[in-house]
Amino acid sequence: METSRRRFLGLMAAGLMLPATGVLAGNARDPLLISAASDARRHWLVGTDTQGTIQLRHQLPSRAHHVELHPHRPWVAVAARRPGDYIEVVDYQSGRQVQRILVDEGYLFNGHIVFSADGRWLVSTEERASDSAGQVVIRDVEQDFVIAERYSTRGIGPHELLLHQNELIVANGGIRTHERDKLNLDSMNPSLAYLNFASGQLNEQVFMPPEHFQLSIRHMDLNPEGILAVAMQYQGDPGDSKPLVALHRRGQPLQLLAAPDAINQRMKQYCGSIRLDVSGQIAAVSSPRGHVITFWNLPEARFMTMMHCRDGCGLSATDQHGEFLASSGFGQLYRMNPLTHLRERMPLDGTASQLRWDHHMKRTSV
Amino acid sequence: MQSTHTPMWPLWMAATGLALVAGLAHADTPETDWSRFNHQVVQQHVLPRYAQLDSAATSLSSASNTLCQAPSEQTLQATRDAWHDAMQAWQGIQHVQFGPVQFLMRNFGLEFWPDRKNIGARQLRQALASDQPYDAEFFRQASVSIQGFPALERLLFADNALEQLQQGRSCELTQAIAGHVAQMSHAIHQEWQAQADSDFSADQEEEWAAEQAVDLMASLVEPIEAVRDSKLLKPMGDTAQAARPKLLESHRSSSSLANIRSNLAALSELYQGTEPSVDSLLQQADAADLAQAIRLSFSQLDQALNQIQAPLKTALTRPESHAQLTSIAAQLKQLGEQLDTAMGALDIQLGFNSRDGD
Repeated sequence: METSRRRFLGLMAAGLMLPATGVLAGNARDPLLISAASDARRHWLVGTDTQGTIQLRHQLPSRAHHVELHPHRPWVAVAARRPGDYIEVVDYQSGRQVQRILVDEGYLFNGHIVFSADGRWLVSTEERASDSAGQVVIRDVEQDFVIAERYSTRGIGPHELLLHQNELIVANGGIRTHERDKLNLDSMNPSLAYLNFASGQLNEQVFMPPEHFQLSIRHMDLNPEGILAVAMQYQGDPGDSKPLVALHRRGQPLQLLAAPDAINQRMKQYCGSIRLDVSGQIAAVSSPRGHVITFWNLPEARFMTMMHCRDGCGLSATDQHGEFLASSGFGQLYRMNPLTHLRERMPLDGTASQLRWDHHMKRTSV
Repeated sequence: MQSTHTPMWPLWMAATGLALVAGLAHADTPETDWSRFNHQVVQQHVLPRYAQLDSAATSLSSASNTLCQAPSEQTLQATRDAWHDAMQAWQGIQHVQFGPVQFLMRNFGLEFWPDRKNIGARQLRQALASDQPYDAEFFRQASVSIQGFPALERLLFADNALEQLQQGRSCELTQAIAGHVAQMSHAIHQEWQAQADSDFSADQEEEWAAEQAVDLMASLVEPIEAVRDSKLLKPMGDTAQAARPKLLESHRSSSSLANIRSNLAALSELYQGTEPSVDSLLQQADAADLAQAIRLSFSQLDQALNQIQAPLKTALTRPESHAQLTSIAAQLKQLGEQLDTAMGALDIQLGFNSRDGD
């Protein structure tokens, strides 16, 4: 790791993390929707075009969670569902496996990954198996994904992470787990950690207020004005009606948002995914347990509306203002827009519609 | 020889026959025809019930117009009766939580409940104090808590309702909300009629039909838990002394129990009242015992609810009836579990991501 680490730190110091325009430019293609999915027995990485025809079908060793696109190569990385032991990198044009990365002894993948904007680094949230202590792990894409750096997320049970310029944002869910059992629900302390990507130094950390300590911070997305939209999962009394969405601006406390009470209850204390539209002003939040997707206006910090989506979880923005695609565990894809009340089912071929589309989805740009 | 063989013959026939039937059932269990099931359930269960809501809400609207033209004990009583009819019509189709009722949050508009923070009371006061016309624009902006049945209940069932309705803008608002309820109910009914032929035709594509069936099945399975938790257990508390009658749905009009009975009657019809029905599909899927157990649960629940002395807000606070209600809650739990098992037998999966935790 030492050579890789020196290379990582050297490149970071030189400021070489510019977004690169790469091989896909000028290569007009239909966008692909890529997600992990399962059938009755097996687990897949699938990609369909907008006509609903499967273009990519790659078998995975076990159920997976989040998918992430390389910024300029036709690669998609998919992380195993926590407690995960692999990240698979696949060329989505050829279907070829680029690399299967296995987790280091004593650690577990937590289902989320990102690439740096220059495509050089693959960054994952992991936890120490013994005590769920959160780790950011940085792998060098150019050197066969060897680990270049590893530092603390400043919390336990980290989940989604975002990389914005030279800052890494980590959702520390706060839940200590063994296998999938939760061990510390009465002493959780969820937080958002803003870390210097190069050094791992803590730039800012904001904790869930004590009266909401059982609201696990799990998923988030960042808008161009620096508003971080966060979706939570509540681990307390099933009868409570807690806010499930939050906004955060650097230097300020968390701003908790609840939908109108009846809708908040429909969300069943659980959000599975959150994504912003192309404008960055509207968030879609999926609540698969309540079979609803709620929409939120970020600048005005308010709930907009909800739409029905049975078992809907995966979300992805399109290039239209306010428009999202949502996938479901019933093999359906929907196009939704809270501004126009659009909610339409998209075509999917027979194979794709028999798959249970898993938690997160990515749309390749054209 | 003949005489020794003869007694064995019927037994042998019976045994072979059974094996044959079993083999056939196994090899030839027909794929469930979801397309026909969906079509029939929509035609025989969903549409008639929305038609009923549409017409009852129209009657409520005209009763409230009459009330406000000539306020009297009689016209108030007629409006209360019309409210009861429309509310029961809503309770009889409330379990369908997909389709046009979701559009524009009509389901919440018709009934925002439970209202744990008492938002309805505050919003109603504000609306009565404002000088804004109660028009379409008003309802576009208004809180869902004052768009439907609960707000009308507050206006119509207050102890001094007749007096209040003759003061300020109370009657005007009552008419407006009743008109809005009628308009929402009519729109839902119309939109269902329009989409029934295309979305629920009798010859849908197989996979599409199987997915639509999931929505219908969820309408059967999921409300059981909601009825049990929100409409019974929450207001019941752990003991009769700890009961909180004000957490009951529709406690002002004393229709809490009627609501639950309408819910269960509707679910029972959805289970066994159509042709084909969930019940007949279960029998066809070799789960006749389960089907019978579910039928029994529905009828036992009906009998048990029949023995509760209305109103529920009083029954909650008496130890003897509190115990009866505890047993009803347990029966509901059992029915919920039976229906979960039934979904397995019919190969209906109600969740994937919804059963996850990530």
